[in-house]
Amino acid sequence: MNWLVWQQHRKQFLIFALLAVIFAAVTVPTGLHMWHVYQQSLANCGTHDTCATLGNTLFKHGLENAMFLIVKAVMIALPILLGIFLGVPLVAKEYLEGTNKLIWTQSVSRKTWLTAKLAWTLGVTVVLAGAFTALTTWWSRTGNALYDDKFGALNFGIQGVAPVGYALFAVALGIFLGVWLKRTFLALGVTLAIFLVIQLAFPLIVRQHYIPTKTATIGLKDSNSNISEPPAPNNDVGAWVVNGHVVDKTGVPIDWANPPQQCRANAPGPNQTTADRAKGVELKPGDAIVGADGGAPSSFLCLKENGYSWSVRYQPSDAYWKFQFIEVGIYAILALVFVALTYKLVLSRDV
Amino acid sequence: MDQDIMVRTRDLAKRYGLFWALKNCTIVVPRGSITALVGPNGAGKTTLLKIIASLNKPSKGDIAVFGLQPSQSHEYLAEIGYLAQEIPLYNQLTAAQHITMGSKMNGRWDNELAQSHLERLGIPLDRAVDKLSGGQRAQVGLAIALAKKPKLLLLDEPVAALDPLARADFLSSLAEASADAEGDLTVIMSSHLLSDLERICDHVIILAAGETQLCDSIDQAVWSHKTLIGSSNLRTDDPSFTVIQQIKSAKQTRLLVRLANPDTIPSNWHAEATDIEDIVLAYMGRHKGDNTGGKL
Repeated sequence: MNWLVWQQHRKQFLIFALLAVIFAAVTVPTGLHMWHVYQQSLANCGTHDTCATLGNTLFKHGLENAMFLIVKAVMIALPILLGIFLGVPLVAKEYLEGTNKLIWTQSVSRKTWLTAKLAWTLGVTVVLAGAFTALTTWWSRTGNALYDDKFGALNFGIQGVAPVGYALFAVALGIFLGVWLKRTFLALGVTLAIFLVIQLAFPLIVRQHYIPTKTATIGLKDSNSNISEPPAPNNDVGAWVVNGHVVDKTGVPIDWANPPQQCRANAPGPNQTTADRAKGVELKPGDAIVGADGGAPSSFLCLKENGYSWSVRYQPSDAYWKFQFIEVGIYAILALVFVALTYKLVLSRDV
Repeated sequence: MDQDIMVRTRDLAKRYGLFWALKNCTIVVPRGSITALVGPNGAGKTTLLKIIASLNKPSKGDIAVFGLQPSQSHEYLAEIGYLAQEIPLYNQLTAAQHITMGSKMNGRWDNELAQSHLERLGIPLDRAVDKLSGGQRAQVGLAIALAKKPKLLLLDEPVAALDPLARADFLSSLAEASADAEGDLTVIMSSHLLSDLERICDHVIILAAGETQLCDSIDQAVWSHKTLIGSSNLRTDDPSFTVIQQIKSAKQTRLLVRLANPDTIPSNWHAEATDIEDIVLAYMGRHKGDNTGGKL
């Protein structure tokens, strides 16, 4: 069986292996150089007091700037490409070309045949996705150090171990849909649609519930002119802030449509119109309420003086690996479900 | 189990969704025979062969093949050779690679047989099979099926797509393989025309509308079927024969019948011998307009 699987599928296996080599050829030199530049900047920033803002100045041009985008794009595309080119045709092509009738009447049972094909394909998927993910994780150390945002929606899913789970799931899903629908292009489209929906659902809805969130109360800053974004706890800048509200002393969230009378700003923010002012100023998330003299926003200071603060729910940055393993585990289980469905269909269905 | 019987089915039926592709199929295929499975398109020939090959499961009825139920077990599959209608092969592999595949996927395998078979016909072993002609592909498919040394070889319309020369080559290869096996090889092959296969077959099964019409040796069938000619006022519901086809004119009635006792010709009738092709056509004509299966 191994001989046949290799004869049939080595082309796809080798093309993906070649892509991994190309990816390494790009990430290794840029990764080394960027880390070097970062270390140098770190050594020099003390004299100019710019250490905290290196992320605003480094790697803003050329290839290294583009690499942040390229690496993300490659890692988002990888599971989809594996699912479409390794998964969907794996068994579907045999149904389409009728070769299942040739192979299922040799002296090897369908189960043995399917097991060999699945073991090879899922094994190659793990190795390839593992290689891409290891390279990305290593390459991302500069960005992680600069931005401290490993929980970010686009960072979490391309580093660590989670991408291996995505790839396994996409391939298993593709295999199953290929067998079930027996039409390559239809299966390809459905695989893509289901995969994308699930990939969006995880960061938006599912992931935050892996472990109970922690709560922190964070004081309002004098200079904070943008009140729409809940901040991370001061002692854990890399934490994942799930949500947050500005609350009063008793913990009741502020009603932005009807802010406390004493804090209504007497100067307009840039987003406010004269008509708004005539109605009485409303504080809204996203409105910058800057004082007329360009100093601290008066209403904001007022809120602070009246005991308002941010109450945020967050996942601490040291829970990162726990999240990675929970995520890869869930995706691996989903992949197993589709593997089991594939067995059921292939073994029981007429040709 | 009867040692002389290779395949026996009783009331075998197969439903796809609401459609009965096969119903009340009762056949007996003797060991060592070359049996033609004939019937119009959609008569259930492919379904029957797939059930015997254990590719599809029957919906009802009984089937025994060399005493076993068809299954996806190693023991069963090792005894079956199957060549599907479209002659599926791995297009990017060569004939030699198909032979290697066979040797790796089968415990019992005659490499020499497959290779010499193809070499003798001048079929290139080192060319991807999608570069071969239809006739050459059919021979590669046959070589792989034969090299398994099966007890039962199932061929689904093997010559339908071949030109007359390739057809003749294929059938002589098959007849040769059957002779070489000295009774250890049973062949069932389907066709919608008996004339394609008649040359090498000794048994015939006629399927129409999913049902068995006739299952017999060709000699026996020819002997028990006669054309009866008589005046047009003779009764045709005589218990001594079953009418398969009748042509009535003002003066005379012409019947193709199966005689209950072929030695005795019913009185008042004039009997003429008939040939197997006429018999097959008569059975197939009985179900004209009804040849796409139907409800059970």
